[in-house]
Amino acid sequence: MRMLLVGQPNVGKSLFLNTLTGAKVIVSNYPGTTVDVTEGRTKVGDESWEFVDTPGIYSLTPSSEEEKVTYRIVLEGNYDFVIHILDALALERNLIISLQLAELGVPFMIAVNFYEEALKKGMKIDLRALEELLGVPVVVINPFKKEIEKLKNAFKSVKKSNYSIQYDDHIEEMIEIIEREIDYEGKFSKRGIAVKILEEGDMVCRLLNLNKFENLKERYRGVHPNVTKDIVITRAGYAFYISQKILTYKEERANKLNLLDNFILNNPIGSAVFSLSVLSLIFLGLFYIGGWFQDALGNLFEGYIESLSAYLSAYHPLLDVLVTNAFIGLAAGISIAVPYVGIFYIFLTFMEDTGLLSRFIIALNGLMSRLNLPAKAIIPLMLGFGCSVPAIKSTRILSNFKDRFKVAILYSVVPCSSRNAILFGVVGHYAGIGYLILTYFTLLVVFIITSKILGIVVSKERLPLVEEMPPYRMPVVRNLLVKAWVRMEDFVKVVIPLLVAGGILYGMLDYYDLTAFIVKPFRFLTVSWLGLPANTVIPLLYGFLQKDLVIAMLANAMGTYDFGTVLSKFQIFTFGLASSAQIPCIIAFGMFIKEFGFKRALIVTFSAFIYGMLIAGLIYRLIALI
Amino acid sequence: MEWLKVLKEDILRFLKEKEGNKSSLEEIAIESKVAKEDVIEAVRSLEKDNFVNFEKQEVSLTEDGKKEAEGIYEKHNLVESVYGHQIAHALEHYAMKDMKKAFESASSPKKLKDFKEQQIGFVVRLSIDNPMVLSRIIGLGFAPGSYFKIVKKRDDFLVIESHGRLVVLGREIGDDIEGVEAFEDASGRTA
Repeated sequence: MRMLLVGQPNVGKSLFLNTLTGAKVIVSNYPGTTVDVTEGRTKVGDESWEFVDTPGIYSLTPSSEEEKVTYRIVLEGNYDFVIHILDALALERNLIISLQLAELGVPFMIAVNFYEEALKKGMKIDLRALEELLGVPVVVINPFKKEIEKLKNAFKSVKKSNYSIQYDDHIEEMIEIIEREIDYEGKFSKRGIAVKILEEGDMVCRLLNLNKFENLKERYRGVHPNVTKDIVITRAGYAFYISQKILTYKEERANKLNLLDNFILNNPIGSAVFSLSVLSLIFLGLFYIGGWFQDALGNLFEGYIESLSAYLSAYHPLLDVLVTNAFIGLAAGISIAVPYVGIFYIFLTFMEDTGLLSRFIIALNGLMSRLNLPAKAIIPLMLGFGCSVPAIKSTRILSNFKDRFKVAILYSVVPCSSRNAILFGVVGHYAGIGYLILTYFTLLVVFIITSKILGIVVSKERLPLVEEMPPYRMPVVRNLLVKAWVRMEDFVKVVIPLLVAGGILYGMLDYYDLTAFIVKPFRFLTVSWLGLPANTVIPLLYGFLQKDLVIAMLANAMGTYDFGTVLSKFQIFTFGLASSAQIPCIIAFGMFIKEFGFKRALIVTFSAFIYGMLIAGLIYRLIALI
Repeated sequence: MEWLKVLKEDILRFLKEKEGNKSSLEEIAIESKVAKEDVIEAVRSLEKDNFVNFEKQEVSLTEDGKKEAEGIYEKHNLVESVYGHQIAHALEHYAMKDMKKAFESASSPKKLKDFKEQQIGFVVRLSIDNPMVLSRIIGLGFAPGSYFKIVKKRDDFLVIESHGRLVVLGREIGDDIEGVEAFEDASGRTA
């Protein structure tokens, strides 16, 4: 038996799944998205129960990435029935999903969570009436308990609900026409499909291979200029009507803002203090914990690489160069990227599971809107400090394409961990902390200017802030770790192999001496514009293949690791800036192509490079003046 | 019996709309989309309540009936102005706490951002055209008829309690949601 768990965010779906199935959970990204879909199974007698936990949705009307995924999973129909997990505390808005399931003719049952809390709040919910009204089983669940028998009983009477919503006459006419005209025989109700076609049109037709009915909407434009809106509101009206029938209140305690929320929301200063504390906590965590891992793992690898290199060079120098560079790529991936990215994701997931993340987004809303960015963009932007590659992909949480594109372009001035390593390892180490701070400050200023420019060039329009503040919850450690792993799995499996490949490629170029020929033609850039030695073009350009090799490339090009002796502090600063302000590497470029198309990727990568060099040269001149 | 009550109210409203003219049972049956036998049962019951005269297969309102129909008709129009035609049919028959008073003021709603802190109201109109934003707003519980309480007003956003949950809405949305002031919310809690 295969069952879908569907429900609003924060209704306890994943806890329900984890309690029932224990450790046997597989988390996977739904193909082509960053949205997590969890599956788990358990054996009950000789039956196998398979659960698919879909992303939390506010309704089965696809508006966000999560909703699109859940909608697709429901319409793909690869399951026996749906368990709709319903929050007793917010009955009315939860019932919208039940009504949509009924409308589509999906067999389902309702599992009510937070029933005890609702009772405590003085709500009386007539669940038997709900059961009778919808004609599907309704049970109260406690997601902390394994209530097999109760579920088993309910499963027996799962069926399609024949509760039906009556829309306005004109909409009913349109539904009738579509029902008559569509060529659909399948597990969903024709009426439900017809309503969906009117409501959103595009996805349902694609998923079920139906013809479109755009001209029908055109025909009815006069009487129903906004069919989607009318359908959505009528459905909400029915949900309201049902909740009126089954819910009675006794008394309710006043719901006040708690101390923390009051602090965060009361005025912009509280918001700023809160968001700054969260940001500093993340950076301190990354700096100290990430730094510790980097040192420990880096030293470990360095020892291995040295002895390996000594051993291999005795056989064949090419073998040595290739294998050593491959290992440097691997070492960089494991010792730099994994700790930073991993810590970041654990932190992010912790914020999400406790309910702090939405507060963080809300607190940053003012600042972000001044940058012409939606508040939610802070998540992908922060991910950019880990690694630009998964960060580019994570822009998908923004529903607006132009917003996604803007954020992705901004990664050219958000230093990822590899670029941070260059800044710390080269600028910080050889030019001192003053120059390091100056570099970050410059990048910040460039970031602000760039987002302002993008606001004009790409788009200024923003979707308004609509964010729920979920109640604070204690995170379940196991859930948290599993989720964090899913998020970075992609990084480990895709980026690290590519880092290795980039290392090998560079090793080959270096061995056959194919790097030197670009030194001369680029003198105009290095010597004339940036005031750097001509050889620095090698790390500047070839760094695109493998950013983590930049330090090694620079050492190679300059003939020493002691950069302080061959470059002035000021030159080191300029080099750091020039190598950070660009789309960092070929892997990020590849991800850019995947997400935004080849043409856009190419244009952005080229212009970001020129833009970065322009800025580095300008700053160099500006500071030279002082 | 609930359906009977609903049908009776529908018949009274229908007769009121006919402005004093008599109606045949067939006409009523077509209008209310039910079988003629059901109409007869409802009309008999209305006759007993002294709301209609039923003679020669034709139905007309009595003086008492006119008064009763007036109230139902008004309620219908008010509910319809909030929800649109079809859902009004479903909703109007159910007396909702505090609703009547509120529906009466539904003709003069004000914008969400014009409510004061701690004020309770309920949604009567959404003028959001972006379907993505609209379904998100409704999914969060701001459907017409839903109660809300303004918890906090700031220049950049509003914090609103809806269904026991806190929701933060950007100020610009405060223009697109209209509501009327209520004196107590669904649970009978006063501001």
